[in-house]
Amino acid sequence: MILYTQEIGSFKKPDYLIKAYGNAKDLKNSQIKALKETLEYMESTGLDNIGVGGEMFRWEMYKHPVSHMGGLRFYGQVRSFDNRYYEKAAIFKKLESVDNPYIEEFNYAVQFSKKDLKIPITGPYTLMDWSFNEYYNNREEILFDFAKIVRENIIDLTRAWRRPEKLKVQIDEPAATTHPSEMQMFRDAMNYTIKGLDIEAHLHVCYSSNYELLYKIIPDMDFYSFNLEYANRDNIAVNADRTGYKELKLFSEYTDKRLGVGVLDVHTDFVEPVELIVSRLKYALKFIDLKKLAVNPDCGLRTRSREIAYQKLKNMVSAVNALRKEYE
Amino acid sequence: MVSGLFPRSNELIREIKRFELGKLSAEKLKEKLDIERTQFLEIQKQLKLRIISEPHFNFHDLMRPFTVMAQNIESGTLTRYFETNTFYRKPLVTGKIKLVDLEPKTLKEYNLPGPYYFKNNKITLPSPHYFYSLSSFSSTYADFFGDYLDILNEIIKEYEPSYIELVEYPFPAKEKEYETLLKNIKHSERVIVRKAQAYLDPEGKIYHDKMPFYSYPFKRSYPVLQQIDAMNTKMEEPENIAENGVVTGNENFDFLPREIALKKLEFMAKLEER
Repeated sequence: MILYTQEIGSFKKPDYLIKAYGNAKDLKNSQIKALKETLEYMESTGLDNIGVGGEMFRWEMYKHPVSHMGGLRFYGQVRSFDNRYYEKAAIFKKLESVDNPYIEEFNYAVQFSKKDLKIPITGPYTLMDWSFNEYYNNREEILFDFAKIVRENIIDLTRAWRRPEKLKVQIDEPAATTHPSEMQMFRDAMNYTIKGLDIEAHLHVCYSSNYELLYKIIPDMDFYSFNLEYANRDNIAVNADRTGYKELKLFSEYTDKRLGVGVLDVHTDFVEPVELIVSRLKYALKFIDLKKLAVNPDCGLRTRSREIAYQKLKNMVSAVNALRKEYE
Repeated sequence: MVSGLFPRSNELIREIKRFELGKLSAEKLKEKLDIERTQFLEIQKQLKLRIISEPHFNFHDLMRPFTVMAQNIESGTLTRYFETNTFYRKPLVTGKIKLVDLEPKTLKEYNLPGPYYFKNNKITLPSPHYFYSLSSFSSTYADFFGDYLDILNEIIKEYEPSYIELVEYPFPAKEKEYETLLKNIKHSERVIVRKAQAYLDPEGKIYHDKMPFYSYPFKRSYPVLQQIDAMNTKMEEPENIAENGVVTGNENFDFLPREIALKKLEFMAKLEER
């Protein structure tokens, strides 16, 4: 299948689930209900891959996995931007796995949907970079201890996987290119995390200020696909220059690996028209082989309303269907 | 000495959220900001810190007030602050900059009500180099420098701060530029230069117990020692802190959870007792 369409990760939670996060008693039933509904909602967009139903079992991508690990404690919130804060944990002793943060959600998703799934998992580099350190001597030690835990989490998922095709796992690393001097360490930790595992491994990186740092190491990374963002930097006029996608040329100069190209800006309510998405994909095809191009939003759609996110995904699928007719 | 912005209390964060949702008026938020500011100044006095600092609770980032007070500076896109997981809105300079109003009544998007500076205590200001490096410009640094310096001088003239913490990046900048800056800035004798992102180690090692000293780059007798790690929760050991100088953080204190920032403040107070 050409131009495989995939979700990236998070999706807006229904109101009843948001309320339930403040009430432990209602939480589990609400999570299960929201997961089932969101999987169905995503299926109805026509997506080929519906991720894990929008991460209904996770409040956010950092605190969720960290809360299932030992060796970390929370002191309070730190600023993300403006008046938005997140809870950043401090490592105070050797990191250890307590239980698997993803397995329960994964089991329900497998039970509820027969569609292709892809399990997003917060990557070890981001976990390391977003934590305070009161224990380890250097960042590499922290990184590899997180990587061991993430690897164990993935192995658990592969054991629970019963379908004939390979399990699709997406490692999310928004912090990947934050420290240019650590790119080799990042590459080694990524390869270690998935080494020898019988999975289809995806890497998702978003909002980097320097993607070339990543492109350079992609040839040495053992991942099936790299799911990246470009739409938020592009013009929104159909006939405009595709400024956001110009650096795909650079990507293609470093590697011929598979690319999941972001065609939806997740930070705006502007619903990309089908023609705009078609234009973006046609531009991307100048540099990426048709058989190696997948299609996705820039990132998880959690900051958009469910209705806006749905319409965006629906248009993405329509654009791909139009192109499939043209190319197949 | 507290460096830069101090973390808001959970209650203040909640009140600001209410303001942003239109559930709290600007006047009510001002009252809350004033209470929190007064309490924080009192904490510093009780701890007997020699330099009392404004916490700047109504700054979302160091440069944000300039987008309200000056013309031709807009809030641009969210941008990663150096190699951190904190983002700021990159100032977008669209023309010749000029101070319009130090305490404007009309707010621009993404801002909180002023006043942004106060009399008597230490205030934190972005140096010309820092502001220029972290913004989007169509003009050259040389064109920008004089206009920006005028704005800094008007702030200093109006508020007469006890000290001016000038946040610098890159560091050390060219000495000639400093000479020009210090020759032209008001009350240069009160200026304390602090490096943004001090002792960020390119090798990724953690320098916790052997932080290098960054002292004031001019011929002053009293160095400023950025030895308190505002980027990590680990507490410093007193024996690793030098005894002669103003001890402060390597970044804005609001990179820390408030509980730890307060602990580090107490630690600095104990150092002053030595």
